[in-house]
Amino acid sequence: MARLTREEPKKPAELTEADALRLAQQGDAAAFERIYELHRRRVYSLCLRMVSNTTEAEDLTQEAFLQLFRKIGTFRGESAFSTWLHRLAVNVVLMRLRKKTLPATSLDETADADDSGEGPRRDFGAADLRLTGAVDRMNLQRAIETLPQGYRAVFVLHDVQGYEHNEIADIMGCSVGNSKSQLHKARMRLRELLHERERDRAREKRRAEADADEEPIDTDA
Amino acid sequence: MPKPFAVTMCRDFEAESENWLAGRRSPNFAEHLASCARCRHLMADWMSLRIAARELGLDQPEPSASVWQMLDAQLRKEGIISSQSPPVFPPQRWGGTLPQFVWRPIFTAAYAAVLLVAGVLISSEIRHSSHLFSSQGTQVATVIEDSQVPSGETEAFQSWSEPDPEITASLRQNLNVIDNDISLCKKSVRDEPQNELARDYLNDAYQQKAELLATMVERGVSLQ
Repeated sequence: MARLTREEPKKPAELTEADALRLAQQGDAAAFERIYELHRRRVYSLCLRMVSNTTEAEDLTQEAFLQLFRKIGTFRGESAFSTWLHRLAVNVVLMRLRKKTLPATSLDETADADDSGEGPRRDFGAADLRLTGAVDRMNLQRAIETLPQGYRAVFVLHDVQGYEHNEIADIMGCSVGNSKSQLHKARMRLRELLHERERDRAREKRRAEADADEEPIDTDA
Repeated sequence: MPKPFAVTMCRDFEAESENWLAGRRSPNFAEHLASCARCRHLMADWMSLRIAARELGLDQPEPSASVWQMLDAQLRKEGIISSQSPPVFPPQRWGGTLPQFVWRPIFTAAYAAVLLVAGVLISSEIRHSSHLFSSQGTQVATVIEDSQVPSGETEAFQSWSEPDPEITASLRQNLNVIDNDISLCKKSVRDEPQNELARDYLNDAYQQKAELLATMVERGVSLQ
């Protein structure tokens, strides 16, 4: 009958983030739930965009919140709480990706063909992605999956989740300039990938049309 | 021969495109885009990418309920959440994936059914007692002697007919607690009709009340 004598239900929805943080530091269950409730979608979306697998994204979300709650007593409010949480989440994701795919791409990766400082160079004459219909959500998600980790993280944080470069610098532990540079490279790589897919699709279409043309006519009919 | 500033602008595409996308559009860069097909195409692609990425960002799916349940269990295991704190999410129960609009009528029906059964049992008990009193002496054979009943069943019968006062008091106290819960949850639902958690609590409280009433009927405890 233990559950029949439960205390008056707490209402996490009534707690502000500041109240929830204060209470969570005292081990209050409703406060933890409130914090989870406030940030779960954003953290899960970030994980999902980074790993493209719902089970793994849930696992990473759980891990990120677990690390957060373990360390919540040390949060002193020097930075925004959400930035702190997202820094943790990004680190959890990057750690996982590093374990999975070695060698990893450093956040400070510079050995890139686009890094010569000469401005835009590739696919200059190609048709706009929008006009070819290459940039739909599915195509973009697939292309994001193939980006190196550092590019992927900055692109997801900036262009997908809407963070500013100074926030990303804080989350990723890099400079604002580095964040901008990573984003630029990420976009260049994405553009390249999307154009490549567009070309592949066009090639396949032409091949299919050619095969159809070469099909022998059924003389029995 | 290209204009000198145009060459500079191609090289500055990275910085200028960022400003452009952020809404800080310099006339020089606009002029450059008008004259440079390469940068214009690239800028168009940047904007397409930005739009698609924003659309992707608008879709913020929710993790499944099991994430919190496992997290909650782990936090309790590690002592981060006080073990005295009651679980804040209702426990997972069968059919937990059914939508709320299905649960509400089910609980209401269950509650009504329990009340109905309780009413029938109580009224039949009253009828049975009055029948025994009225037929005393004429239908003696219908009254079973204590000696004819196995001792265990007698005890069971006595425990049914004479509930333990402590249990009675505890059950009534629990009923009061749940009734208070229901009042609070009803108020929350009235104040915030969109609050799913409040509705869930209310459903949970109704379910607990139904279970408790069933237990009280089973043990022969009256509501008052």
